[in-house]
Amino acid sequence: MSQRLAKEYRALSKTLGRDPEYAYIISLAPVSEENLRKWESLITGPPDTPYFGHEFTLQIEASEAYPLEPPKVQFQARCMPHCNVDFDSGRICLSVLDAAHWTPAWDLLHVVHAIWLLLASPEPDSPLDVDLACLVRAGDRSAHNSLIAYYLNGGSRGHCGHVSER
Amino acid sequence: MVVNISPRNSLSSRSRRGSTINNLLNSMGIRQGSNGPGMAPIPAGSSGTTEPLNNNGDMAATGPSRATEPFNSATFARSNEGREDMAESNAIEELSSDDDEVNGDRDRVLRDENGAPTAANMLGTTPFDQGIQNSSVPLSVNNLVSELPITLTLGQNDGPGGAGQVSTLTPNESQMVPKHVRHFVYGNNQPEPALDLLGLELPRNAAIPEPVSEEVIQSRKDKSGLFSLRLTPFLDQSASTNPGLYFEPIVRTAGPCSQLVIGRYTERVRESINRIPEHFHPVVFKSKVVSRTHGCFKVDQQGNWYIRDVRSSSGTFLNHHRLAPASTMSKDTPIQDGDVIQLGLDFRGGTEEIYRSVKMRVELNRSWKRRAMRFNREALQRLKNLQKMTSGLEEEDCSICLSKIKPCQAIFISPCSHSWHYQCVRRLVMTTYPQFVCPNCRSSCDLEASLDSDMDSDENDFEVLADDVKDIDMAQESE
Repeated sequence: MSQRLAKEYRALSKTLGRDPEYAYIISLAPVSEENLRKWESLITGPPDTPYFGHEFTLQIEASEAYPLEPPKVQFQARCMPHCNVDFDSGRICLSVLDAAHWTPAWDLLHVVHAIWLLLASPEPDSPLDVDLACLVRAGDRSAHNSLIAYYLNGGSRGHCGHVSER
Repeated sequence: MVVNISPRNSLSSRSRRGSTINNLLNSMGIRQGSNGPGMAPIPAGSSGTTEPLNNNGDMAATGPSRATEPFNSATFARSNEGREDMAESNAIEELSSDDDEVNGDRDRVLRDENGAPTAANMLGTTPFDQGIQNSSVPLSVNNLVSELPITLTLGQNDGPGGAGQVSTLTPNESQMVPKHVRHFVYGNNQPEPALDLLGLELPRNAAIPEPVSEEVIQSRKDKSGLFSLRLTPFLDQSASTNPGLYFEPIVRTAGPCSQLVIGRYTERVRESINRIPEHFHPVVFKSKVVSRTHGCFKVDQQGNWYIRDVRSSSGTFLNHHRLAPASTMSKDTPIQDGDVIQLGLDFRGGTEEIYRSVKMRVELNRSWKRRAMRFNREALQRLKNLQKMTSGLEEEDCSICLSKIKPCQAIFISPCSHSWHYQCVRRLVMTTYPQFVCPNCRSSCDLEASLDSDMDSDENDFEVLADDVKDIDMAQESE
C-alpha cells in the first residue's frame, strides 16, 4: 500500500503541466521525497471568482491507512476566506474529505480538484465561516465577493469577532 | 567479502564506534585473523580511555570460544582475497587509532543516539550496522548478498563476564549450552568446512536425504543462490484450544550450510538485528513460551532443511511429535514442505497473547511461489471479460493500490463487477459487511444477498447478458 503514494507521485509528474484541465495546479508534490506522506500543493483561484489571480497553499497529509482513509487537507491558516473553510485554521469542510464519503478510488489529484471546485461554489449549508455563509444565503453575491477580495488583498480580520461553527 | 563478527569483535567495534575504519576492520575480522593478540581492542564501556585491555585481544585469538569457529575458519579459508586489503587497512588503522582519545566523547554520544548498550553482553552486530552508520565507509550495502555471511550470537550472555565465560568452554560444551547457539547465514559460496561446522546430526531413525542432482539444487535456490524458508501461522480455529500466536508470515533466505536461530523477540535481539535485512534475521517470536534461544533451522548444501531443539524449556513439536524431552538437545530432524511446527505450549491457557505457543506451517525453497500457468492466466482473462460484459470497461488496475491485477492474486469482485485485490479491499469489505459500497461506482451491494434468485430475474439477467456477450465477442474479433 505504501507504493500507492509513490505511484501517484509518478503519475502526477506526468500529468501536471500537460493536462489543461489541471492547469490551475502550480505544484502538487511531496514536501520532501523522504516522506511521501506529507504533500503540499499550490493552486491558483478559479476564474470568475474573487479568488482568481491569487495563489493558495494546500497542506496534505496522508495517514498510514491511505487510501482507505481520506488524506487530511487544509489551507494554510488565515489565508482562505471561504464559507466552507475555517479561516483561522484553514480546515476545509468538504464531503469527499470525510471518511464516510471518501473512496479509495480517489487520489490526491481528485482531492485538489474537488477543493478547487469548492472555491467556485460555496456551500452555505455546512459553513465554517458564518459571516460569508450568511452573505451567500442572503443571495448577496457582490457583498460576498467583495468581502473575500477585501480579505485577500490584505484586509485585516480579527480573531475575536469571528464566529465559526466547529 | 567475508565479514566476520564474533562476540569479541563486536565488543571491540562497539567501543570505537566513532572510528569508522576501525569499525570496518573489526567487522571484517581482520584484526582477529591477521594480527592476533598483539592488537588489543579497547573494551566496551571504556570508550573515554585509550588504555588497552589485553584480555580482550587475547580472547579474540586464543579463547576462540569455538562457537566462533565457523566464521574464523571462513576468514582463513578466504583470506587470500582480502590480503591486499588487509595490508592497506592495517596502515589506515594505525593512523586512525590515534583518534580514539579524541573521539572518546563522540563515541559515547553516538552510542547513546543508537541506544545500543555499552555492556559486553550486547554482542550482536553486523556489517550493516556499521556500514550504514558510517556512510563514509565504502561498504556496498546495496549488494546485500555479497555482505554475507552474517553471524550473530543471541540469547543470554548476561553479566559483564559473559564473553569471558564463553572462552572457557570446550567446543563441545559451548555447543551444548543453548545460550550460545549462533545465527549464521552464509552466501551462495560458503567456505570449505562449512558443512562440518554446521554439525548436522540426524536422528537415528531418520532417512538420510537422498542426494539430488545439481539441477534440482539449482531449482531450490533463488536468484541469489540462496535457499529459502517461509513460516506462516497455523491457526486452527476449529480446535477447542487457543489458535496460537498470530504473526506476519516470516520469510528467510540463507545460503548452503547456514543456521538460523529460533528464539524469543527481545529488546536485545531487536537492537542487534535492526540493521540486517529482514530476510536474514533470526526467527524470533513475541511469545514467552518460546525460549530466548529455542532451537535452530539448518540448511545443508542440497537445500534440505532441518530443525533442532536446543534445550528449550517448553519444547519443539514437529507434526505434534516433540523433538526432545525437556531441556535436552534434539537431533537435526529433517523437515518437509507443509510440516507443522509448534514452539512451546500454551501457558496459563494461552489467554494472553504473549503466553501462546507458536504454531506454524513450513514451506521450503520458494515452494510457495506460484507460477502463473496457462490456466491461471486464462482464468483471469475470463474474469476480465466478465467485467467487460457487465460494466463495459476493462479495468486493468486495482483502483486502491493502483497496481495491475495479475494472475495468481486474490481478487474480490463486487456485485457491480468492479474488482480489486482482495488484500486491498479487505478492510472495506470487513468494516461494513454485509453492506458494501463500491469505491469505484458507489453502488451499494448486499454481500449476503440470496444466491438462489428466482427464475424470472434469472432469465432477464441472462437476456441482457446474451446481448452484451455478442458485442464483446465482436469487439474481441475486431481487435
